[in-house]
Amino acid sequence: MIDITNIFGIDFTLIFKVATLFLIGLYGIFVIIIFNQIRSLNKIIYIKKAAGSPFIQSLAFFYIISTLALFLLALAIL
Amino acid sequence: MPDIFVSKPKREGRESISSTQVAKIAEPGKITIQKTEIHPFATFHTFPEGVIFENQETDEIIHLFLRRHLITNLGWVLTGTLLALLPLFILLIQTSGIYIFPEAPYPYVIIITLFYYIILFGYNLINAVSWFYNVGFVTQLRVVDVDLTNIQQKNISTTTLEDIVDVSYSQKGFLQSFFDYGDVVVQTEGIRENFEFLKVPHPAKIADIVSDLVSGRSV
Repeated sequence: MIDITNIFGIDFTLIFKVATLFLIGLYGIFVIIIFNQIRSLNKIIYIKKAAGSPFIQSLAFFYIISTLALFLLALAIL
Repeated sequence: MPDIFVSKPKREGRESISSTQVAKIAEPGKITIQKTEIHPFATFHTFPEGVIFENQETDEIIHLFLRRHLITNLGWVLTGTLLALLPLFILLIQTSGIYIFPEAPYPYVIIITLFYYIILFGYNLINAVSWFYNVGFVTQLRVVDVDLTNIQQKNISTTTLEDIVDVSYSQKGFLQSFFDYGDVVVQTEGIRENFEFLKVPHPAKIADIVSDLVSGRSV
């Protein structure tokens, strides 16, 4: 088995950590764009509470929160 | 003298919109319209309650609310489900001693797995949003088509009923015939763009309703 953090005797831990954080950060920007799109779509078409619009928006909000939580978790444990 | 051509008697009503509802719409000032509750998975709804769109006039009533047929979501739902199960399969294979991926410290495994599931959640959310907001409305004044080609590109087109010259529909293939869905094309005058409601349920009914509205016959 290959240990990916130690190839040819070089410690890649820091490189992996920075790369992972960078990727999650980039993804976070994409998630914010999606959230904004959903918010603007809700202004174009609003389908009342029981039928979904606020639910979709809260899902998008949850999406942002989970990405942010993942970023913080990666920052803490990697 | 025998008749060469006898026109068929006109139909009294439809299944989706009752003749009483049609009569109610014909004179909106006199009789109130019975709107019905819309549910989150509605794909074909007549006189929906609780749906508002941008620039809607105060007296504008939505006669038809349209979305793609639910069955059209089968592809991404199945893909999402399979992708959600993928890490479990990999875990099973890894525990059996066959190593697909190189060994990584636990924190990396946790973060990569969580990141994978967040991306997967995003994939499902984008597909759900694309279906949810890709809608069409037919009101007594106009036809509105909201198209989301992808999450970052939206196109909203409207045309008044007076500009509509023809309404046609098509159903292709076994699935469309079996689940009764297809494409409705609303042609407008001159150089204006045509409206397409793609993969919507009951295309024949939709074409009928729009034609009736355009001719000012019933609805």
